[in-house]
Amino acid sequence: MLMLVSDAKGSLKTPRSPSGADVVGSYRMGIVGVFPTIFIVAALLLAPACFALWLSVFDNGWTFRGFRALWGDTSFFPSLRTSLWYSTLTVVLQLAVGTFAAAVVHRLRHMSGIIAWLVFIPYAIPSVVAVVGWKFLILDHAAGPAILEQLLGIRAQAWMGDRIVWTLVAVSIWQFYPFVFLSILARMRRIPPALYRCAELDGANEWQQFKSLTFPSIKGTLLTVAVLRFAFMFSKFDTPWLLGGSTANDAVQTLPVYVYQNMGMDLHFKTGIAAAVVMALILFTVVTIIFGLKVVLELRQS
Amino acid sequence: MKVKNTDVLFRTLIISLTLLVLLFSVLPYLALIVGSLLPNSMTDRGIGVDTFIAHRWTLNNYHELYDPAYRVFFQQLLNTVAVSSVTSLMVVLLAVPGAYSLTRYRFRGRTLIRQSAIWGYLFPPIILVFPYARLLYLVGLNNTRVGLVLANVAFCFPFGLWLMVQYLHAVPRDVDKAAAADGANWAQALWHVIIPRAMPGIAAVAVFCIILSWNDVALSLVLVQDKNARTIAAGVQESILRTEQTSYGTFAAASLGIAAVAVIVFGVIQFRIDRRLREEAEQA
Repeated sequence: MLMLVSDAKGSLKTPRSPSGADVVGSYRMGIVGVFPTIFIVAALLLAPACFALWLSVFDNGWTFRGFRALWGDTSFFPSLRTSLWYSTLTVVLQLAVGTFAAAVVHRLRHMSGIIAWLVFIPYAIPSVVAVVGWKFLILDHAAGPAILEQLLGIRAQAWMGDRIVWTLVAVSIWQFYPFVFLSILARMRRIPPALYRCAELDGANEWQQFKSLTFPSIKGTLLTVAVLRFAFMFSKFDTPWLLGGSTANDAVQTLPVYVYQNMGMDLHFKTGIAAAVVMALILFTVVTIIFGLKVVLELRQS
Repeated sequence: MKVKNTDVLFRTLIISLTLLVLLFSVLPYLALIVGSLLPNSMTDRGIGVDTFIAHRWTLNNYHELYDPAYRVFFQQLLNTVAVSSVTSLMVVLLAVPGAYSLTRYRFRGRTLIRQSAIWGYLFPPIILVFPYARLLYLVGLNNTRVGLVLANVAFCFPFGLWLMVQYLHAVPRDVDKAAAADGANWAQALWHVIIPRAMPGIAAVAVFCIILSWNDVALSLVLVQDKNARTIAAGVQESILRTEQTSYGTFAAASLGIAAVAVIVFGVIQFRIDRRLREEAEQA
């Protein structure tokens, strides 16, 4: 289903506009179709967003209590730091694993369907289910941690204890690299197979084919997916929260978890909503930067 | 053709990496299947080597789901089916005409709306969910499935619209012109000519919405306090993961049921889209 991202021709930029000028008469009325869209976006997204902003600075008069509390809170900056490196690391690794898997499946002659399906499954599984599956594998009595304890001397309990953050990274990559895999594979499928046959005739080996044919075609999609993935991972709430669970482990307190914990308590609501505003600003900045990068790349190409 | 040594080395490397990735992908859900077939007492601290050697396989975990204590989960499963299908339907109904206008007409702000996917991602549920709860309370929709559907629509819509635009954009403009020449108005053209051609896209949008609202935890957790109105992802995590007493085996049995439908349906759709893409590339 995520094959679809391919149809973006690897670009979130609006494709060259179709001509609407030559449609006639009653056809012109088709523009009404956009009204529900505008209404929904305004009513269900923009209004709540403005309301959130208002809540963060207004409480019987202007107040910056929330932001001040945030500045003074010792657990805000650690969770911000955790969030930033967690989302950066998982996005980079997801892109790497996803692209690798896509490149392999793309060049397979047999079994590509079944492998794509096996790889896709984690994406369709809810986070709650994913976390239990992983717990079977990493709780202190499980086989994996026992082997690692023998080999590396890492305590088996550590994977749900002081090394839980690495478990979180593994689960996150496992859950979401299928998104990268499917988007990239869809883009690769659009490369005409004839080009590969030409490359083979020229004596290019698999690696050279990837380097000079496959990779240049997927670059644009890769950046788009990177933007979407970063925004998504940065605001990912359920996986860290479910994994941290009742142990309330600070190591997996990412910014969304911090927001949730504070907003859920009346006393700290202002702090929570201030954190949410900060989070939105960071998202906005990072997305703008990556987007800018994309525009520059596209300009240089043309 | 002569095979070089480095090529063999490269191949070996790629094959072993591939196997590693596959193992990484498959192990956790294999563990889920194995765990659902073992007694709780053997799995509540993970599946170890000795668990395998002892192999006291049982279907107990599945029988236990009939227990009245689990009745609330069936209600929640029904809620989830209802919420995600209504969400999906609403998004499709809104996104199709929206995407149609966005691809067929030029007007101020068009580009801005078209990039909705990005803007949507900038308003993640966790940021908006508490303001949402207050707004729903104001209109008396807190604690209801209707409120939950509205919230899910809000968060599925931007990406859904964006996808729909990509698909409708791919339907050639000549098709519209032909329909107009035959005297169809825009609605007739959309219904009879464009929608049939955009069916794979509509399926993709619907599936995307179902996955997202099916798997949502944050919205259901905050917007709905009533256990009987919650969706299953939120309900299950509350009753099992947050309590100290663990019965992962039973949970695994329940969750396999939740996941199986999604995995099979999406697998089939994915397979078909992939095949179509390959055929198209071959023709190109």
